[in-house]
Amino acid sequence: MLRYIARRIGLAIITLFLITIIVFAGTQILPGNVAQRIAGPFATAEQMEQLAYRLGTDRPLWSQYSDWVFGWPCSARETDQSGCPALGRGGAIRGDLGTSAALSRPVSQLLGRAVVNSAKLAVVAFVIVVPLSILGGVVAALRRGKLTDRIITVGGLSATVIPEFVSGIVLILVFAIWLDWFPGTATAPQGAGFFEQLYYLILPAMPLVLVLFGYIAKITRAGVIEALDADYTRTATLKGLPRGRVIRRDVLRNALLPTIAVVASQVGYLIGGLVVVEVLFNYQGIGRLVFDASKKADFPVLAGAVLVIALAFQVSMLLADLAYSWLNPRIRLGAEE
Amino acid sequence: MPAVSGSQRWKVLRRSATFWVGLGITTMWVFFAIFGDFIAPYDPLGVPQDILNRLAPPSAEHWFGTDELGRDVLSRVMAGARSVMTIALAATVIGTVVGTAVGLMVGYFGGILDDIVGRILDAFLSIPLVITGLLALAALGPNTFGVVIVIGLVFTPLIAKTVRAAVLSERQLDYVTAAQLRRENSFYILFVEILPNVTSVIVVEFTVRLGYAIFTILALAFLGFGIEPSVPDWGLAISQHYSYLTGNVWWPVLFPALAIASLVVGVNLLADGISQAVE
Repeated sequence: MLRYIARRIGLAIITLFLITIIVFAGTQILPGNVAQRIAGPFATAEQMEQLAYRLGTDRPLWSQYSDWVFGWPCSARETDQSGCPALGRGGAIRGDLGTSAALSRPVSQLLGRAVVNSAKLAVVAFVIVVPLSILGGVVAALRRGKLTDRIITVGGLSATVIPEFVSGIVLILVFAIWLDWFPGTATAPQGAGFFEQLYYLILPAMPLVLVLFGYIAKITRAGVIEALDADYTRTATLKGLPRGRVIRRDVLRNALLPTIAVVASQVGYLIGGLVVVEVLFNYQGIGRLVFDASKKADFPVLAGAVLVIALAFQVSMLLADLAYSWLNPRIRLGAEE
Repeated sequence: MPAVSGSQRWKVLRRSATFWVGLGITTMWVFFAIFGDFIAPYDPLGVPQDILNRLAPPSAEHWFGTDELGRDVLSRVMAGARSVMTIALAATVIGTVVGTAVGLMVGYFGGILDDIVGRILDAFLSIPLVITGLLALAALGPNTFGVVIVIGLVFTPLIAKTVRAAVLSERQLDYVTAAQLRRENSFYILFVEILPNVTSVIVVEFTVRLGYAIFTILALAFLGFGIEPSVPDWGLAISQHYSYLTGNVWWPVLFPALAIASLVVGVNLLADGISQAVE
């Protein structure tokens, strides 16, 4: 088990390093250079040079990359007050992601606030969708082939594929404008209490719930059907155990295993959906930050945000794998695949 | 997995309600993508004849009302099928062709190539598609060609992964060993022997990816990337008009939204029907 965990963490770290390379390469395919974009079309050659020096974009690529990830001692350029490369003094590895080109504030500070906001929204969505979709999947499986099953399966599949901004628009129209049950924005007024914030987040969470529901329900349904058809279930039924008890003890326990992995693997989709939902509902989360940064070509923010998103994804996959292996004795007891 | 013959597959497909509903909806939008411009009641690009008629609610003359420039919403919904369908199709074709080639080679040659590609793939998969799109489009500028390339590139590893898995199981089979013993060259074995046996996997992957492509393209268009502002496009129409919602001006937003919903559901029902028939 320990070896498995170590191997799994090692793989996650390698993947994260590959992501830093992809993201860095992404910031380099920019036509023209960063300094030009920030300084605007009317900057003189001298201003451009100064800016390039300040941003560190005049140095070779490998050195810019290693500064961004591992940090830059800055001693050589300490003389002027902001003489550190745009992509961070301490390096991403120590949590220093540099300074926003558009807002002149540390990227980590901007990201910190946005991550907290997005996490609130994501938690509300997960708290609603996980029990609901597992229940939906179990009900569909128990009524396999009947009308209820078709409604949940086809309805869930359809809800999953409709883009969040489409369902979001319809939800705003119906529940915020026509019925006036919920506010049309996600941002609660300053100093709002827990329940008021929650109230503001319910409608924005719904597009995410709709997208995740069909997928989680589908996997749960498949798991329950497999468990229902398994020999141990037949044995339990033939032993004369009541059906409710068989379902709780034998079927659910086995069927929920794959569901855990699926729930965690959806974190990536969830974050992708956050961009659209946060723009639509005017909410200052990480998705909104990525959106604003990409409009302004603010690469330090974009690069930092993508790293944080990839990190969140890797951590959730790691936790899913660990939970899965802990629940599954075949892996826990150290058997190789 | 038992071998399924072509006629059995067709039998399953013919009886699948989801497949027919999906095919019907998709065909309708393909029809509008090709002929929408010609059958639309008004010119979808129409310069507003009278600016007083902007944001007019649905009426006998304008069934879906008019937008902020006085253009007919119904005509723009019909014509809007074209941009999303061409971009999605082009991106998915690129992703499928390159992904199949990579998947065939990685699956067949295996070894270190497999490990390296697998790692890079994992890295790419940790970044949501919409975010990758935003990152790339921020660098390239709002550009339709860029959207095609970016989505095609992101799909490449995903499709390669599926094809690789299919090739791994094919590689064990006797016909491959026989071809190897005949000393056929590897590319002949890959593209003439193995490829025809993994086509069904590729067809399923293609339809599923097409759905994702439509989803992503529209989301990017909504965020203001990838589509020229004058082109009739559903995602763009929604982003241009959703601020009017507070004034209860719902028609320029709701009708494109319903068009998107019906197209993505149609394509995915089609994909679902096909994948059930293949399994």
